[in-house]
Amino acid sequence: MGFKAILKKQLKVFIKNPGVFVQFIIYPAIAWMILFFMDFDAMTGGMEYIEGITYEFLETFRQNMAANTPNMVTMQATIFAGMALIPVMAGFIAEDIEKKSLRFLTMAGVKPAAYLFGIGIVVAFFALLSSVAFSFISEFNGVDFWVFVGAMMSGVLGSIMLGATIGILTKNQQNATALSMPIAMVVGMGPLIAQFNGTVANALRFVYTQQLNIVADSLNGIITETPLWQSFAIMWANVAVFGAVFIVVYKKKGIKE
Amino acid sequence: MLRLEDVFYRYKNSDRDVLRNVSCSFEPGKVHAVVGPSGSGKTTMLSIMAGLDRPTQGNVFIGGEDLSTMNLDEYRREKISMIFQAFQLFPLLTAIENVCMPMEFLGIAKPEMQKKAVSLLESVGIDATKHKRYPSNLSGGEQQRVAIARSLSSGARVILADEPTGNLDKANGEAVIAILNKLAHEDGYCIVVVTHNMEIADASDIVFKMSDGVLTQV
Repeated sequence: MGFKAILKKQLKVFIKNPGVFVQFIIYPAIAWMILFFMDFDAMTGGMEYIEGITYEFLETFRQNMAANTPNMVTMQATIFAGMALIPVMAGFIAEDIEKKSLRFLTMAGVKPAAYLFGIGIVVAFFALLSSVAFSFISEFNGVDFWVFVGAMMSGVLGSIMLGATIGILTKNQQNATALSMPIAMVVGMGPLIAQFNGTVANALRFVYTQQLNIVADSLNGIITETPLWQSFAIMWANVAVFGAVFIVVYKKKGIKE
Repeated sequence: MLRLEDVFYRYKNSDRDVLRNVSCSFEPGKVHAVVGPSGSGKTTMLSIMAGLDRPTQGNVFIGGEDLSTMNLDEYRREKISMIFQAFQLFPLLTAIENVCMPMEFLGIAKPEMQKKAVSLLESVGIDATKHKRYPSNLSGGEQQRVAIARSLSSGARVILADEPTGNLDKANGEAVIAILNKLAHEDGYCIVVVTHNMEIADASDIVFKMSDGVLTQV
């Protein structure tokens, strides 16, 4: 009964928090805009006047840009899984600890684990909706559709674990934001930078968002060196490690005031 | 109704008892104040009464039943309610949603829950125009009254209040004291207030003084 009530409470809190709720819409919305509003002629307009550029080069450039659009869409999904969810999860927990509403929940017989699980499920549910939207926007079909959603949810789970750990460690919203944002930037934006830098790509090869992006690349038809199963294995290893860290921190610090 | 018998409490890694041989009983229909300086053990005693901590030695009884033999989650959910100094309302839930929360945990049907929440809010002086307001749109006194209504919604007959007027001005503090007295004297609740505020102590039926972990009735 307590778990169901926590789910209902968190659902209300989630929906009434525009700053949080909008992130689950805006990231897929930007991906959709990338796909439908990108004007490559306008982007390359004027380039024909650059000395030495041939018509053939420009055409190839435009075609390459167009071919990479799906990759840009899925990159947006990777950024969402890394950047949006860590601060959201950390913020929810830190707010309840800071406002001491957890003490009321403890009095209402809610076990800390049920509380954390309840928040995680609500965040994961909305992230699932966003992941499905990303998969539609990316025009994945059949098995690819669900492989992408599965990869997204693996990333989502990793971010939820990381965010929950930060939330417990920091104990107030200001500190939660201060700590979660740099981590979210590295995890979320890392794969974008890795596209242009082999050293970064190599450094991030064991990070779940990098593997999520590799799965997306593979589904977009880009030849990757990492097989799908290996990417999923690395992502799940990340989840396992974050889960273990979370359990250690939770046991040590708990969420009671 | 609620009785502590030879209760001792010592924090882990400490060689000093925070509570020493505390014995007392709290009766229905009365407001009990526990006064004493900071660090004297008042809040620790409240935590033990709330089932948040177990005594190192001694027993707590509610309605004659030993707390050590009871399910603490059920005890906290059904037998005891708490009011906090900082209200501890959920900021993104309206007044009525906050009052409904304990009933959600008890699995009460929505129409019944809403009806009871409205009645409780009105009983503490929060009129219908404010039921759907968020805590940030209510004054401190109103927030504490919502918190009192929430504490009553579970049906618990023992209300533990931890410095309930600590964040309020004089007028709102007096209003809260009046509500707590009404709940005890007219509705038969057992109210236990831990406080530094001597006005609450003066308005209480029974006053206990906590000093260095030892409780005495004044």
